Amino acid sequence: MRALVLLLWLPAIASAEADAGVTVVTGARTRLPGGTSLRGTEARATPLVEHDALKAVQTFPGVGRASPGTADLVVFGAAPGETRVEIDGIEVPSLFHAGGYRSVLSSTLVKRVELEPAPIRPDVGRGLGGVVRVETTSPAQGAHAELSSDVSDSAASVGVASDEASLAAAGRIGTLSAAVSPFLRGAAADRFAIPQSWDAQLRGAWAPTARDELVLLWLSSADALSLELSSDDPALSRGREERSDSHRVGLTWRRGDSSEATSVTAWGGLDRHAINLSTPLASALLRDDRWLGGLEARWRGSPAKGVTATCGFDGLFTSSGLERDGPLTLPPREGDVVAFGEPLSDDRAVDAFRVSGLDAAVFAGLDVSLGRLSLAPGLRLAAIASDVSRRTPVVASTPSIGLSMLDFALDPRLTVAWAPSDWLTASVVGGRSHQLAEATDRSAVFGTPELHPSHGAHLVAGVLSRPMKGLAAEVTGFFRAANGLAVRDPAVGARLAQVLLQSGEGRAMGVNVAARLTWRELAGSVTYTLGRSERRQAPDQPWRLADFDQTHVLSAAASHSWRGWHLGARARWASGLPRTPVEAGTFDVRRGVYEPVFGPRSSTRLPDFFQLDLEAGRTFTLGRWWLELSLEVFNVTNRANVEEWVYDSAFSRRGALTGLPAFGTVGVRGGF
Amino acid sequence: MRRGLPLLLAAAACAPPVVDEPWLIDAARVLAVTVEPPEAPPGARISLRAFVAAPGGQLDSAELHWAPCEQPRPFSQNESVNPACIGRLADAPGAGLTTVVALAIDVCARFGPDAPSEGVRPRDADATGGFYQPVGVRLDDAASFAFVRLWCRPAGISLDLAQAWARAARPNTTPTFTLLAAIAGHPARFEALPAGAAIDLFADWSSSPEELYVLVAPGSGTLQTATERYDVSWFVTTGTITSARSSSGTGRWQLPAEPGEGTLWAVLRDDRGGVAVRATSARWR
Repeated sequence: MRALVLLLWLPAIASAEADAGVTVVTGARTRLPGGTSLRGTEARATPLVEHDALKAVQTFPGVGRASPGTADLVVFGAAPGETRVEIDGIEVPSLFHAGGYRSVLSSTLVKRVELEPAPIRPDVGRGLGGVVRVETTSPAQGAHAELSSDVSDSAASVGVASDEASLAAAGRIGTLSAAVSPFLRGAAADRFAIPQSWDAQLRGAWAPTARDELVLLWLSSADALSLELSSDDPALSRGREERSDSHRVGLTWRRGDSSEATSVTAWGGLDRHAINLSTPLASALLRDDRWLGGLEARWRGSPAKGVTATCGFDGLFTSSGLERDGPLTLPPREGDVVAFGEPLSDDRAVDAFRVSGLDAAVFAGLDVSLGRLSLAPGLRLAAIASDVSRRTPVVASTPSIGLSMLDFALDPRLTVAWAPSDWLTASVVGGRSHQLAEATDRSAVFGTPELHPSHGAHLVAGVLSRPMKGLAAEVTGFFRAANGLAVRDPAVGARLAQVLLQSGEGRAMGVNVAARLTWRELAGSVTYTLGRSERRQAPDQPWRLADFDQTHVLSAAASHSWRGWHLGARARWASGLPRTPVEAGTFDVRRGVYEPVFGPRSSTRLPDFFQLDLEAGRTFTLGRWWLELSLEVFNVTNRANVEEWVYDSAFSRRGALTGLPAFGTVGVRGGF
Repeated sequence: MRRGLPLLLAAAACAPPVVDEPWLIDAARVLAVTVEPPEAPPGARISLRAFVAAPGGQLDSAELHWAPCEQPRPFSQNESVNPACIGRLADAPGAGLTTVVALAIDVCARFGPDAPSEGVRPRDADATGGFYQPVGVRLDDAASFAFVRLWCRPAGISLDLAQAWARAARPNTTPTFTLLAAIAGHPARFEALPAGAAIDLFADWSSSPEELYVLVAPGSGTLQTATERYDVSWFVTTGTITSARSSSGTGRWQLPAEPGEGTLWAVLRDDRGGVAVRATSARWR
């Protein structure tokens, strides 16, 4: 029995600390390399994030520049869909609203935001990439309110707190569409699609005793996008409508003190997502309504001096109802060779199916301090059950035969840290992880019902140096590999109900250098990532650049505060994303449209991206009341960053879609 | 874990447009290929005729290279022709504006709804329930593909449904123009148009009453009746076309201010691969 208890011990929950704002996540004893952790107030003060605390994640070391107009997070070379995001232990589909312009959580509720380059601790599962963890907070005692408005949105938050209880509510509605659309004319009006977004949160906390706390959290967010691309040739015009909304409600009970802690979180939610593409020649529909439920229970304690243990259980249940209609190639997936604006295939397949899944795991680990050396071994054992309503496509009146699968995953993790001096720490982590197949891929018509979880392994090593007060620098090397990724079958004759193969492999490697200096009211940071992300169709196939690969990502930011004034600047440089060149067009006589003929796959890139942004703000205070006016100017150099190649209808001429020119936004915030 | 909504276009506010004049015949090109019959069963012989437009007008002869495509595209590919067929077209022997192709006996297994072998996924029909074999035609370095619609019995459906389909389904027929007219404020002859004027173009075709056809609705296992839709594309050797393609058969041709002459083409397409072409010379002064 004693052995069983020991097996379930887990390393201490890493308590993040912002070390002079540097990108540091330290465990209770064992330091985790490459991670970033910021308090909410620090994240909100990050230059050029428009006071949106979670947008600071886009500037964290190791985070690539998202594909333009997406909410993707590319963390240390991992694919966007591989990074897990959770708010108070509740898994959410994305950290950002559509387009990545805004996060889905009010900054007033953010206590801390952390990014880990990989699932390092054994209590983290169900993702091959990075981990973004947000911790919410109660308002300070008393009554508080905040109103803000800028080009992007208008937001309000209120909170009231006493010694024992607190209640906070926040909401935000996007105004970007209303603010920008009147200034767009002609082709720009067609192409500049701005989502209509809103989000709302409610958080209640009650501490019935000095050791207990109950937290109720409700999160909702929604995005809608409607786009009509007109063309003189109606065959080339297209419409796109996307709607998504996500809702969560969770209850957390925590009991503990500095030596021992127990927590239980139960949550449920609904995610809905629909895409409707239409052209005169073809259309496509994808609808995914997904119910989710999660449960996590954990215990942390110190059974002996220098030893911290954690053990627990977590599980995620999902039930999706899906509809797909259109060609197999829509929506595109990683690895697809496509040209922007090319005609859709007019093949039409239809499927309606259900996918349910349960990923339940027990985890345990230790965090052992041996002087300047610390070790944190951990283990995670997961059972993954899934059920698909149809194993094969509908044929005549054959009754549907479902498919049930059960997989197991054993994911060991180990962290070793060595601190030879007070100003130098070296650490290395390694481990395995797994991720469930996407429900949308498990169609008997569009995909493969029998998709098992994909697996990955990671190795991250870093050296953190703090040679003087206010200065910290870290070098982090990373390598990650994944196998069992779902990829399209490139053969002419795919097997029935096996359009996707699980032979795909991925790997990413690189190094990140980050430094931050804080001196009086001046703060500056520089982060640079040299990386390479690759994919291949199967183990016997050559590697190619992943669609999200970025060789160089450099970001530098500085801010200065003085007598209520605030000045900030940020510069970003990133390699362009890989592209497959179009060498010619073939004329489809039947439909009267041209289709592209591609050159070597991923053999070119978009031009490098560079942008310089500036901000200035002034805060006025009068008693408890405060008012802040801010001005942010983006793309100060008015550089025409190429975001995509576009072609004429015959694919004989190439042009460029460029990003926004220099533009400024004015914001006002106030509250008490 | 869901991918964010891709809003690539959001970043394209200030995109300089790519010059795109698909209606302008500034070099010789295959404008259309008519297929007779436009829908045929396995083993049938099909006649194809290419219409080549050039800045000087429609060509009565040209060296074209024809090659039927025998390989369907991979399911992973969005484009409608297997790249191997594009490559094969480069080596195709020279011929004239016409060719004859014999459909293979197993064409419905290769390009149609029949599974090529046990456990292999059949192809998907287009929105009209059609399956097609591509036939490549090359003019100089420019590759075009005509598509022969295959008369294949739907597969994977109940016997009752198959019988109902057999009773109701009819192969497609080639549409024909019945009218091509120019209106410059008033009906005008193409040989005497006013220079610099905006000419309203109007075409009509043999589709009255509306042509109906049946297809097996994918996923539902029911027979569905659909109405054939048509559109007309306009091409000219000079001037400017607005509304270069329309389902109403209309278009507008802005003539040059200087007197001159040119050629106008109208290409009529129906939903199921039927094509008709009409060319006319025009003069303006």
